[in-house]
Amino acid sequence: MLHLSVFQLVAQKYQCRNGQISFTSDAPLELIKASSNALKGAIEPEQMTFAFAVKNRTFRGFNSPLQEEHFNEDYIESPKNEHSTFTGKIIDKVDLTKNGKFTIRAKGILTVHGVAQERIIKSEIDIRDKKLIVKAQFTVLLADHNIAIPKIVFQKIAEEVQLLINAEFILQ
Amino acid sequence: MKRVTHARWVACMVVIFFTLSYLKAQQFTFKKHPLSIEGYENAQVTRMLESSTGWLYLASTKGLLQYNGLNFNALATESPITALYEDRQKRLWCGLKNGDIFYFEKQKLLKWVIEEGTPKVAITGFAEDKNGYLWFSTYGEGVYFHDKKHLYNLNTDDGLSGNDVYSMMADTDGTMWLGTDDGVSVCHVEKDVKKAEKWAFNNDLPDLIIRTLSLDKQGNIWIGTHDKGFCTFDRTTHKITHLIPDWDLGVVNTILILNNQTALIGTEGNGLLHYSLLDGKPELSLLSKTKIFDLCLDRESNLWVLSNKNGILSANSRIEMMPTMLDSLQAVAVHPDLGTIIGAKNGLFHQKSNRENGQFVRVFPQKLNIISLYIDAYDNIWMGTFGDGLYCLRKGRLPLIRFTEKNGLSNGSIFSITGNREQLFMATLGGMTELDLSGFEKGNSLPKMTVFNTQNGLSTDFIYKIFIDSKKRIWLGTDGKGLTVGEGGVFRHFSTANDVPLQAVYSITESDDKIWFSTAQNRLFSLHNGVFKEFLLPSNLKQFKITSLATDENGDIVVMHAGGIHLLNPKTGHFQSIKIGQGEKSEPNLNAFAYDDKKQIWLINGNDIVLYHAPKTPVAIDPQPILRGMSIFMQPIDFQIINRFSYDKNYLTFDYEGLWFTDPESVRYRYRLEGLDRDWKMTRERQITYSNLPSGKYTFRLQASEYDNFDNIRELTYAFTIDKPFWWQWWFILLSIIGAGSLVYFFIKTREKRLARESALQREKIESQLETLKSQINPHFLFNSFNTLIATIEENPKTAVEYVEKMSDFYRSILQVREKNVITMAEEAQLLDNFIFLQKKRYGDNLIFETDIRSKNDFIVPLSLQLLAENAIKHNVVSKAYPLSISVTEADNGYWIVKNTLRTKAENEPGTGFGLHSLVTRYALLTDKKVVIEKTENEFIVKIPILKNAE
Repeated sequence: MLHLSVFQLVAQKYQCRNGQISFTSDAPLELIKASSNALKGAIEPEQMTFAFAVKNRTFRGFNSPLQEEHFNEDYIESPKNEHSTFTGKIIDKVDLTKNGKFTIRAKGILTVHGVAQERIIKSEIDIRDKKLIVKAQFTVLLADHNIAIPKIVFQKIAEEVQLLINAEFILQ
Repeated sequence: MKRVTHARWVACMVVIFFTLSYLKAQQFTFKKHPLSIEGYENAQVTRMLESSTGWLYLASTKGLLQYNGLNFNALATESPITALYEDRQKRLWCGLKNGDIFYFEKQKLLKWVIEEGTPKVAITGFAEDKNGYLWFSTYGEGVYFHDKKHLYNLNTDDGLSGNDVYSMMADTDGTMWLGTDDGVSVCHVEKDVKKAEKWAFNNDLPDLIIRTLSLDKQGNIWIGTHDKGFCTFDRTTHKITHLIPDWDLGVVNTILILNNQTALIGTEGNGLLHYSLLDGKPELSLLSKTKIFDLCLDRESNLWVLSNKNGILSANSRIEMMPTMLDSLQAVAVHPDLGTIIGAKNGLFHQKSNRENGQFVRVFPQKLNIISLYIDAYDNIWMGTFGDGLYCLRKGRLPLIRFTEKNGLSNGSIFSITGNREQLFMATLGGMTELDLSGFEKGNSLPKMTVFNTQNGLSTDFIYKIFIDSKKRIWLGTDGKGLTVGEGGVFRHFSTANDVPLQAVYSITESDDKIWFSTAQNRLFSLHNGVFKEFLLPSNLKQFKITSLATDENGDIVVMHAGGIHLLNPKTGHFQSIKIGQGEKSEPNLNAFAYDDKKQIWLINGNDIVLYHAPKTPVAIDPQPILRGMSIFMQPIDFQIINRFSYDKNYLTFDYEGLWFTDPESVRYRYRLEGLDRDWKMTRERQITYSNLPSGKYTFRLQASEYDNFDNIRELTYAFTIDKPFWWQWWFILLSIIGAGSLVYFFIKTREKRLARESALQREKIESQLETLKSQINPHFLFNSFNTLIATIEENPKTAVEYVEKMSDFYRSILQVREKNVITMAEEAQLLDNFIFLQKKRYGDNLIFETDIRSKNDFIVPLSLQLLAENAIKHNVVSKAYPLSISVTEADNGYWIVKNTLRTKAENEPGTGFGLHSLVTRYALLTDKKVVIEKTENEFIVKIPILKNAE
């Protein structure tokens, strides 16, 4: 048992504390963009599992302070749903301990606005010298996560939001 | 896309292979379809699908192939195609070995691009669930489904029994059944929640590696395993039945249920097993040591086999062949114990057992020349010989019992035997014999025989065929005397049918409440209530002699001949040809067929026995006409969307196809362009061009047939319109009419307006003249003038003369100008001068008159100035204290200005005001400029427009 726990301690994983995540809502009347540099993540190369989380309040760059307030209070409801997360397992059989560029598909549970949805997200992975860079682009349908938009605001917020992730992980 | 134009059937290839363990007789006659496309010589075809349009699609290691039975269209792919599927929207999907997914649209393969990306491992299958979600299974990543928004995955983490999915199948409830290395898994999506679980009955399976799953018509699931063969799962009783426990044919790749009677099992390396569902016998492994990739049954009931050694094979699944290795086969029957028995020239044979090479052996040593066989209701075998009498094998057991003329038989040559529980009837060369079968069955070894011949009512003693119909009437086909029917011991003879001498009648059957028979002259008739109807034989039947007629389970007339059989639908008269073997070599063999207890028909064709099954489900009976493409001036267009062309797009080419995999080369076409062609045109070409089509509505009609009869046949129609040129378009014509109408209307209106104006002017003029005359002959004027004249005559006679002259001039002028619309200013000024002269004589210096006019040659309405001057004198005081001043001047803005001082008389002279009003009106009719009337405190001013021309 001791031996096993020592092994587990030794087992290394990729970690990230300040990944970039941004979203774009391209609605007929308004283009909203906001991003956060506080994406945290971990990838376990043995088990091929991963976990990502971002604090919703860390998103910046809205068109107005009022918009940021709406985002936090009305749509994402940050007081109730502090984080958005994506956790799961990588489908593709690749060796994440070796250098190289891969396209992988991550299958997991995406939790936004407190609503969990299973998703497959395609990502580009670039591993070089114990550094792993994840780049991914995917869409989130607001309806999938019960994010209701008042009719009046509808023209200003797109039904689907584009997300972009760029995070650098270090093997630790 | 490559197209091979001269692909040909390689000659029919009968593929007969035997293995030692499962062996019997029935075999399909396979036809090989060589993959004759450049670059595809070494390609393997591994999956097959018949699309709803009728095309066959083949998945190969090099790409997708579209096949019409003769030519392939190839669409290359980067990676071998491992799965083919047509969804409910009739879209064709291809799954590739590298995980890519393509769909087929407008003759192109388009890559399916989704945000989630496609797998990196081989796609093994597709299916759709009740939500309409598309599922696909993979070899390595489990299974996926797409809910039209996102892609979802189910693998071992979700409860799947394995990530390597060999086979996927949707059941009638839309549940997915997956065959994996660790048993079967069932998956479904309910209320957006995906569910995957290992199947509850996995432990009852003989083998956990599940290679293939398929559903039969009863809803049972057929499961093919890796090592232990195949089993069925009954979804109502939940019972798994392992069908061949001592299986030794290795991996099962695919299972196809044929006609609810046979399961065909395709193996990985041991060919095709033919498993009878009726008696549970594994009968034969065709194509031994062959890998079977896929099996498919098309809508014509052709069986398609994809194999590694023989490529693409097809066979008519309704026909099974049993080579006998015997000569001179003359009669056939099916006995419950002995199986298929054959009467040959030298004895009776049967197939000994399934496990002894399927060889036919003698039932008894006697070398009887058997020409007719019958198995009665008591399983006795009756054999009619040529000249040697009748033999019976009681219950199929020896010894032989013989009957001859001595026992009462009409003749020793028996051509046809039939019967019921009581009697046996025989057609002989000496008339007909009726044998008391029930007496024979009760132990009477010498049963009573009754003979009917020319002595007691028959027309001839030579009878070929005897047939008992459903009304228990006895029908006889005679040699030379036509057809005879016996009912209650009374015989009626039909020597002609519709005035055609019948002569020899060879074969008789019954269907659709009618009697059907064929003659030695190769004519085919039906008879119903004394009315004959002849059926014209299709060209591909005429060349053969009809040897026998039978009726299959569906009521179709089975017309047998050396080249195979033709099926005649008794209601529609439609013939369908089924070729058998090589045909030509064999001699006509009259009535050499038999029904078995399943109503299947066994017939002799050359040295083979053929089993014909009627299709249990409807099958296509003639070619499927399809429009392959259409072009305008050789430019392909999407005819599914476009059916309207402009007038100059009138060079149309139709490419069509009559898909008929049974015999693609026999297909001929008949087409008609409704709106142009008056009659149908026959062709064997698969393209037709119409040039210079005039505008109009058309319907292209196409029929495809495997012979020259197009009655009751499927038809393809394509309606289209060639528009009229725009100048013949209704809208253009309408616009033109409206335009022309408007012009005419405008013209008429202006003319009317002009005429109205002219007439108004005329009226005004007349009224004005009248007024002027009235005023001039006004007694006041005359009275005043004469008073002036009297005074003048006394004082100055000379001036009086001048006065009278002026007066006379004035009146003449009035008479001269009154007809005119306008006069020159010079004329008017002269007139005014005369008037003023006359007035001056009366008022002297109290009337001051001034003129300053330049444009003497411009025009004015006659008497305008006179009228204004007269009005001025009439309405104003003219006295020493208040002299009246009248001036006529010309302004720069195109007006003459008539001005007079204003001192209105206390008692105004009666005036109608008509003069001034008339002046204004007349000017309004002549010019846009208005007469301006101004009245200040001291002056009355009238501005008269200067008219530049006389119009």
